[in-house]
Amino acid sequence: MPSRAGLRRAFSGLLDAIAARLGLTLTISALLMMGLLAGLYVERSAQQAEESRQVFSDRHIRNGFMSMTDVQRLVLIFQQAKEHGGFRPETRSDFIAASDFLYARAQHFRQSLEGQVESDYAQEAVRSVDAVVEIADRAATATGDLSALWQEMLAANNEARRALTIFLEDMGRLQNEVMQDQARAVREQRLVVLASIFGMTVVGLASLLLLRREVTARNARIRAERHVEHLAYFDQLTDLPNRVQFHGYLTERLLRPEPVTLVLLDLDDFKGVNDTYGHAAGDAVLRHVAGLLSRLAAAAQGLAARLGGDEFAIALPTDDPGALTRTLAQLLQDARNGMSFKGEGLSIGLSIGYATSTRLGQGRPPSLDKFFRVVDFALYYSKSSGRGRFTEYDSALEGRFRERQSMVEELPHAITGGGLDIYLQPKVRIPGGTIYGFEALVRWNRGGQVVSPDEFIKVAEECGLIYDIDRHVMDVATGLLARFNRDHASDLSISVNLSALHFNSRRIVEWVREALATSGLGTGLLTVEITETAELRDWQEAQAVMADLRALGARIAIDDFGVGYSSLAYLRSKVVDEVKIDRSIVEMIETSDEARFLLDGVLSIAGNLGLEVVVEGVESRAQLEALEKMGSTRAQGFYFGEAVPADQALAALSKVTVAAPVAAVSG
Amino acid sequence: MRFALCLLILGLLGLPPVSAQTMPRPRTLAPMDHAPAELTVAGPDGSERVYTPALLEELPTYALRTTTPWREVPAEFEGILLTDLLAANGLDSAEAITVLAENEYAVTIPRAAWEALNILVATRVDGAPHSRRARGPIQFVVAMDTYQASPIAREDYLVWMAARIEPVE
Repeated sequence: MPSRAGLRRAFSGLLDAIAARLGLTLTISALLMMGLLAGLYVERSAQQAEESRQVFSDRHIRNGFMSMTDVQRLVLIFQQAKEHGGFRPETRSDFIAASDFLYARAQHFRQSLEGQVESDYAQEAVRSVDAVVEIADRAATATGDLSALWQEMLAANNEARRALTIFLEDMGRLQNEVMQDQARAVREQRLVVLASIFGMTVVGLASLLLLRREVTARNARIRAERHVEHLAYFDQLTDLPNRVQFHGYLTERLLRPEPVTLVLLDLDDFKGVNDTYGHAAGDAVLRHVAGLLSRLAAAAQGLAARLGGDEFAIALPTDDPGALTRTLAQLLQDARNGMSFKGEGLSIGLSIGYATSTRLGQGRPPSLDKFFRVVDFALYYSKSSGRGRFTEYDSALEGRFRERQSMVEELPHAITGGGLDIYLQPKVRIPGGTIYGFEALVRWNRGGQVVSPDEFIKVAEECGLIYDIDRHVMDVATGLLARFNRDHASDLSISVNLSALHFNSRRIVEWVREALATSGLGTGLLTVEITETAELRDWQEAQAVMADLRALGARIAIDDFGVGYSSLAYLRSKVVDEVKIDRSIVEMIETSDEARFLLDGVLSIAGNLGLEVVVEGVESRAQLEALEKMGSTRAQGFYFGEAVPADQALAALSKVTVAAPVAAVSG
Repeated sequence: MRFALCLLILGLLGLPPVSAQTMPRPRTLAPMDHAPAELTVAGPDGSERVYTPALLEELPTYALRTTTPWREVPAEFEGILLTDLLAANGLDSAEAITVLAENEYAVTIPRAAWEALNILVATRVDGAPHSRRARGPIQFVVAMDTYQASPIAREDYLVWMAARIEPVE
């Protein structure tokens, strides 16, 4: 037994076949043929009934009966005449009239039969009536005894009755046939009608089924199209509009004069969320953020979209800076408040960049590409400035940023290609001002323009180039000083600045060892200057590194003491040899008692702890005198000499050394 | 059907339905001996009047040359108009009349039929008295063209051996 699905499939196939061009043509032809056949059938049946109706006519039956009556009337009058022995005048006239009736009747009878009823019964009936009339005609003129004629009349009468009866029975049979024909015609017509109704019902049902299939298929197609459209314009995970739709929307908005603000957002450390909590959590976070953004966009009559990954965008129809700031701050806060995932509270950090079409200058809205590019920059800036914040695009900001970028690109070439020059600033003993060493400072000769370390060291630290720079400076400076000391039999020291970043690994120890070994600089003549920054996080590790460096014969100096993160804690550290007082302290020494007390205290403490104190930034005689009064023994500053290229500094010193070798040796 | 079609075609052609049909023509008849016959006309008040063919011919007489359903060859019928006879007996406003024949044949003729068909009550054929054997002596005759053209004409109205006319109650 075929399965339900099989039947359905077969039925579907049949409908398909009918719906095909050939199937439809054949089906319509078959229907037309059936209709034609049914019509012909009905027509033929009706025609048959009509034909038999034409053969049969009640007129003939009436004529038959009337003939019998008329014969009867004639015979009755003749019988009276016979009984009275002959015709009386009025009887004769009645008799003639009756025979006239019969004559006319017979003629009428014959005429009405002509062309309609050709049967022998009919002919015989008419002939039998004619025979009666013939006898009556003879009787009408007869005189005397009527007996012989009476016998003839009786025989003719009997014959006419018999013939008419037979004729009438034949007509009855015909009538029956007509009625049967008609009944059959009705039956056949009913059959055709029923068949037609059945056929139409089948055709109608098939049509309805086809229609339903068509409608169902069309609905499915529409649903599929909608789905495809949704796929094309919406993000599946968050149901937010996707990049395609967002671009279209923004393009259209940019054609209008009204301002539009483009906001790009990145999730901070989204990878971390995925790695820590799994991708389900990542998806939940994306959906949560999508919810926040779509509510925000809906409230502002803008559009939120997911551009891909953890990148989102909003277009807002406003250029009100205050409103934008408030909105974005609130968004950051809402995201930071986080969400709950399987009982865990997840705080979400967002980095946001935005720009407003009307504030991008040139008096006309930016192109879509430019709009995205600048907002991308603002977003990048937010990320590189520590995330969890929003930045409005600003061309000056970008200018600085681009400058920094180009530095990052050019610095490596400067390091390897000799673009970094070593400058030396003398360090002197006071009182007396004898140079006992130099601080090596790096300058970047960037296309003929000298760039100070303030401008590029930070960049170098950020991009990791600082290691190469510091090592380069250390190698060159130790080399120069070692050679100078050898050439002049001097023991000048050299201070080299090391980024705090070095103290997070032991690599620097190896580098220092190499520098000392390669240069052959004397023990205790290399001082490593460290500026305490946030990067010097692991003080224990840093101390260990410093201890190693000291073991190699290097000295450790804390630079910029008195500002920033530097603290008195360093002073009691076992690994520090020198403290360099920041120039800002010296600047105030003449005007501020606090500065003097502070310096005095540091000198006193350092002295007690056996640390050497170098005061930086000495620029005047007065400052020097004040320092001398406080018992300071080491100083550095413009007053003694500014930083100049190493060869100049050493050349100048060699003259002095040549001129006053005793002083140098004795200092 | 055919008539309706003709009417339709004529109507379409914008032509008036021309009546080219034969009408009984007035004709003065000389007295003649007729076969013995009587036509009794019952008036609306129940009064009866008996006409012999001669009495009938006292009304205006007409002649009509035509065939009948039983005559293939045209014959010259003479007699009076049924409308005149009915008018003379106050039956012209009757809705219908019943005509009976000597052989007990009966037919009802509505007024519309007798007004439209110009029925001649014939008493003579081809200048001779009408005989019973020729469907006389008093026969209702309608010009064949009128008879064929009229949708209401029926062979039943062509009564022969007419014996009595009475109004239909």
